[in-house]
Amino acid sequence: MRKVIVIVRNVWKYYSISGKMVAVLKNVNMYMYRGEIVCIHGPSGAGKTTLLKILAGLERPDQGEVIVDGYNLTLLDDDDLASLRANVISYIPQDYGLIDDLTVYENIEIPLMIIGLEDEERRSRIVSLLEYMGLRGRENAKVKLLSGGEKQRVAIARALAVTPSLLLADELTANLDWENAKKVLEMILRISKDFETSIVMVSHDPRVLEYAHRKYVIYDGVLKEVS
Amino acid sequence: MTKSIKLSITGKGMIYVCLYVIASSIYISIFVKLLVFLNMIILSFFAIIASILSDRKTLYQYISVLIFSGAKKKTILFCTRTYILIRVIPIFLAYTTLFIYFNFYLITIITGLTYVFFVLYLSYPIYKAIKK
Repeated sequence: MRKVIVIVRNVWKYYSISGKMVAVLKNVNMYMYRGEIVCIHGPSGAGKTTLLKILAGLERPDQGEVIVDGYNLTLLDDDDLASLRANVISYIPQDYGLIDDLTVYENIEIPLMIIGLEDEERRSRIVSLLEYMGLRGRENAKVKLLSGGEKQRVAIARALAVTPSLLLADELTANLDWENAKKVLEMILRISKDFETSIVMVSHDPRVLEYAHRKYVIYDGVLKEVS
Repeated sequence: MTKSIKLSITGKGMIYVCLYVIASSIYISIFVKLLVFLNMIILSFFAIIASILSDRKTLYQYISVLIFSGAKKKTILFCTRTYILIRVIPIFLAYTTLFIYFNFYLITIITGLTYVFFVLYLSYPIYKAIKK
């Protein structure tokens, strides 16, 4: 039987814009199974990133509940949410979420340091990840010197370092040309298969939808599943 | 913590801090007056803030990565404090050496305590601003 890893139930989120409360997510409902790739497509300002941040525990919904891998995020405090991000949920923001002044190795090392892995174990895990992502030989390169495609692969490697159950990727392909974007998306398919990681991608590019097992469209805060 | 130390030392703001230390030490050595010392201590806070602002992109990236990677608030504040502390150390060492040399012991103690509070409290607004 397939295990449901994400349940989003009746989620509403409001932001105060010029003193007025504006609903950016309106009664959002969704679910996903373990190992599934879900793509949420929509225009800029539709609420994609807000939904992704709520799934990552970086923001809280004003109404409704979010359950990830059995944990009800709405009931957890900030430290518990941080623990969840350290072990269960990985988030890749649109700007890669890397530190330009550190090397590839040091960037991937950060989440492993947070979960308290020893030096030796960190090294072996990073080496195998670099191999897997095709970044062997680039470990000592500063991130600011990498191309967009390489940066994206490092960002994915950082997110995969703790082997999360859920990987959330915000506009993975937005900063890449389509050739590089295809390579990254094929890598995402491979990761989902090899690691059994559930992946949520949000994108304004409709071509990304082809790479998802299930598709959602969000428009003006309203989420709908499409076939 | 090692990443905080590395980022703080290698940031270009560290160059500004070092230049400030050299310039202000020469000034203090020439004008040995209590008022000059106090002025320089106040100026040093601005120098530290300016050095941090000049590396704000790196600090923003660092704290963001810590948040995404699941670091708890306590850890993030500790890393931010280490980052600021490294910027404070050159100024603190230069000033305390000069103040002790000129027998201004009370000012040395007050300066030390002020820098400690500065490091502790500056980390909060930085963390809050980036988290938001």
